[in-house]
Amino acid sequence: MTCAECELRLAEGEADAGLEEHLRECGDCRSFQEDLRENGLALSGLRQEELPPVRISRPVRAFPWMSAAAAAVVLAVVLPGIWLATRPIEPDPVRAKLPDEVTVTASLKTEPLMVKMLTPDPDVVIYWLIDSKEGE
Amino acid sequence: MAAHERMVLGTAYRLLGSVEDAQDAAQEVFLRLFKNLGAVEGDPKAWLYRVTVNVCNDHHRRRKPAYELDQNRADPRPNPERALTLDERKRLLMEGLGALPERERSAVVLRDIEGLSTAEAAAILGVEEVTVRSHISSARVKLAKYVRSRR
Repeated sequence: MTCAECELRLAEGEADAGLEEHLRECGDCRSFQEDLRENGLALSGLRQEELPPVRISRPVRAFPWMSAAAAAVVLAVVLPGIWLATRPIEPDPVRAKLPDEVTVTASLKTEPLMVKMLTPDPDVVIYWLIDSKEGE
Repeated sequence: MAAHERMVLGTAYRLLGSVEDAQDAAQEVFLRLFKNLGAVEGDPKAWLYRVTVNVCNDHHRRRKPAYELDQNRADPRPNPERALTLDERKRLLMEGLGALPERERSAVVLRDIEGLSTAEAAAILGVEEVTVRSHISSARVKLAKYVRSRR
C-alpha cells in the first residue's frame, strides 16, 4: 500500500489489516492520521463558533403595493365611521315665530318712554324702552 | 425563524469564508424562501440547506478565487511537526475550504461541519451517497495537506 492510498483510506475512515500494517511502518502516515483526527475535531468545532453579529433584513413581499392598497381601503372605510361617531351634534336652529297680531300701548309719563307690545300668546310680551336725550 | 437564520448564515459563512458575503447570500436565501413559501412543505431545513449551497456556489463562481489548493504555493519552509493551536487550525481549515472544488466544499461543510448524515448531504446536493463519500474523503486529504503545508 502506498502512502497516497493510505491517506485516502484514512480520510474515508476505513481500517483493515493492510492499512494497519502500513501505519505501523510509516511515521508520516501516522502523523497524517493524527492531523485528520485533529482537523475533524476542529471542523466540528466550527459549527459552534459564534459569528460576528449580523442582521438579515426581512425581504419585503413580492407585491408591496398590495399592502398599501389594503391600508388605503381600510382607512377609507374606518375614518368616515370615526368622524361620524365623534362629530359634535348641533341642535336644529329654532326659528322665532312672529306673532300675527300685536297690541301696542305706550306711556308717555314714564322716563324712559316704554312701549308695551302684547301678542296673542299670553306668555310673550315685548317691551320697547326709548330713552330720549336732550335735543333729540 | 431565528434558528433557521443562524443555520443559513453559519453555513453560508463556512461556504464563503466572509461574513459580508454570507450576509448577502442569506438575504438571497430568505428572499427565495418568501417567494416559495407555498412550495416548501414541513420543516424547511433541507430546502434551506439546498438553496444556501446553491446560492453560495453562485457567489463563489462570481468572485475571483484568492488562492487554490496548490501544494506548489505552500510555505517553502513548512514544519509539519509544529503544533497548531485550535484557533490556528480552524483558520487554516477555513482558508482551505475556500480553495476546495465546489462539490467537495459543499459536501465537507454539510457532513463534517453541519453534522448532517451522508444520506442527508446526498439528498441536499442531489447526488448519490457514494459520491458524497468520495468528495468528503478527497476534501479531507486536501485540507490536511493544506494545513500541514502552512505550519
